[in-house]
Amino acid sequence: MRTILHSDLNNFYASVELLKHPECKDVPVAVCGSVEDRHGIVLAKNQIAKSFGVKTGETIWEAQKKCKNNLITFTADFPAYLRVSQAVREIYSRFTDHIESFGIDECWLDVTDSVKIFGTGEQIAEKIRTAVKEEIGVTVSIGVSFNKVFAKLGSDMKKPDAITVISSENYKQTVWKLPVEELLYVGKSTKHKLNSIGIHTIGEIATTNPKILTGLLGVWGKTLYAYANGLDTSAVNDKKHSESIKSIGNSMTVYKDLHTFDEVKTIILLLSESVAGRLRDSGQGKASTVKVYATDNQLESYGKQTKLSFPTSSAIDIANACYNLFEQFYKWQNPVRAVGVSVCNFTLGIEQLSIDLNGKHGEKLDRLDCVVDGIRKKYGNKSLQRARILQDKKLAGIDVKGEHVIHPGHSDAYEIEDE
Amino acid sequence: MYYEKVYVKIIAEFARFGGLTPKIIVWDNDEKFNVDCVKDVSRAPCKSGGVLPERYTVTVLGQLKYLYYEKDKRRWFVEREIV
Repeated sequence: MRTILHSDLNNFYASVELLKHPECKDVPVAVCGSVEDRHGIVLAKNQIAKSFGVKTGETIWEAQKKCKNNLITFTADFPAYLRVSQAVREIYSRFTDHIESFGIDECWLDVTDSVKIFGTGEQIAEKIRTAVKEEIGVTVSIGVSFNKVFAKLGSDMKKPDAITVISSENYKQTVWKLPVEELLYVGKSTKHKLNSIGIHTIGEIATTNPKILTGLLGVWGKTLYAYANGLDTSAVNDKKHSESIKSIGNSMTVYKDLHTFDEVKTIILLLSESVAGRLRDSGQGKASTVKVYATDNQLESYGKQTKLSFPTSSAIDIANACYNLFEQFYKWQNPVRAVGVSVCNFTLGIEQLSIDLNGKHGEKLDRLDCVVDGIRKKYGNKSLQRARILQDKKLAGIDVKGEHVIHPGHSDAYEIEDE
Repeated sequence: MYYEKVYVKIIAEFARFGGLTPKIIVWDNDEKFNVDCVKDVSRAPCKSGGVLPERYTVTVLGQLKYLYYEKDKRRWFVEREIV
């Protein structure tokens, strides 16, 4: 049986800010995006702010109201967070080289081969917890289990600075009573679907006939059944594997609310330009799947993905696919606040030849992209821009490709679509 | 109780095959204190605020002191207690 740990850095961004500003350790603290660029939402908060009811994603003024204007806010300092994340990863690597990052603050560790040297999974978790606290000054919650899904669940069960063991003996008592949304990848829509047929706990997923789940959720139903029964066999992708990129995406909170499809199209085009450029730089070939997601001004997220009939690395193809998707899923109940575009399923340079009437057109686009890339490499990403983007001076001033550093997870942004 | 960061001038030695050892702490008024010995070098959080400083546990005039090195900025500091 495998021994898998999932380590989660508690209130990560806020904890790093408290390392920098220890004088704030007894007051509510939140890390926010830049107010000027209208990214002024709470990205992370410390335990005290949490106790006031401050939530990630809400606006600064809402959070201030909850804390009676005593909330101390810091603008996110991503380079510092990356340095700390790297230092913590170095501690993990003392115990195993099978480490898979899940965002900047979470990692899975497969320590199956290390237990003979360093002790049981729980003992290794304890060593990691102590080292991170004493050497770095931040805390972690660690889940110890025999598969990745339960290890992740474990790290969420006790916080902060804690270890939870979910073994093959106790998982029915500890995991099965939890609500379905605690299970990895169960978002709002999957939760609603499960609830609609009377499934409310993970145990109920585990004991439902998988055929019923497949009927309800497609292939995804079978996967959830396996997860709930501790049958997840997915491997912890070590360093070598994690270097291969799985998806490339960019998202943007726009400086003003978007009220028309035309405005959204401009943002999608801007993001598609960056995504396509990064895709071409990555050496991953072309992408076969395009995703688009949007957040409205009430912070509700929506999204959809589609498989393209032909792989592409062209901004126009990606943007066109996104326009179609956006029109399908966005019902304009509220104006749009943020938009994201991403691509995945890369061809890695191997392409299926198709009897495509547009083949010549595709070749021409590739050549055009190549020239555009050359000009931008030489004179900067903003040297050549599309007329649509130039219409908006503020947007034309943004270099999405050059400025991207971190892509915060959009786990709630879209549900896995049945294809 | 709070701690304040005080940046100090350090005269240090780079060993031939690697390693950085502080030798003399130079105060603002040019007063010099010899570092008698370095007991330990480890990464540890400081009380005055900072991300990932390297902590040198040293003895100065027979007393155990912490000297911190900010690798990214290449500067040293000590901590002063504020009551």
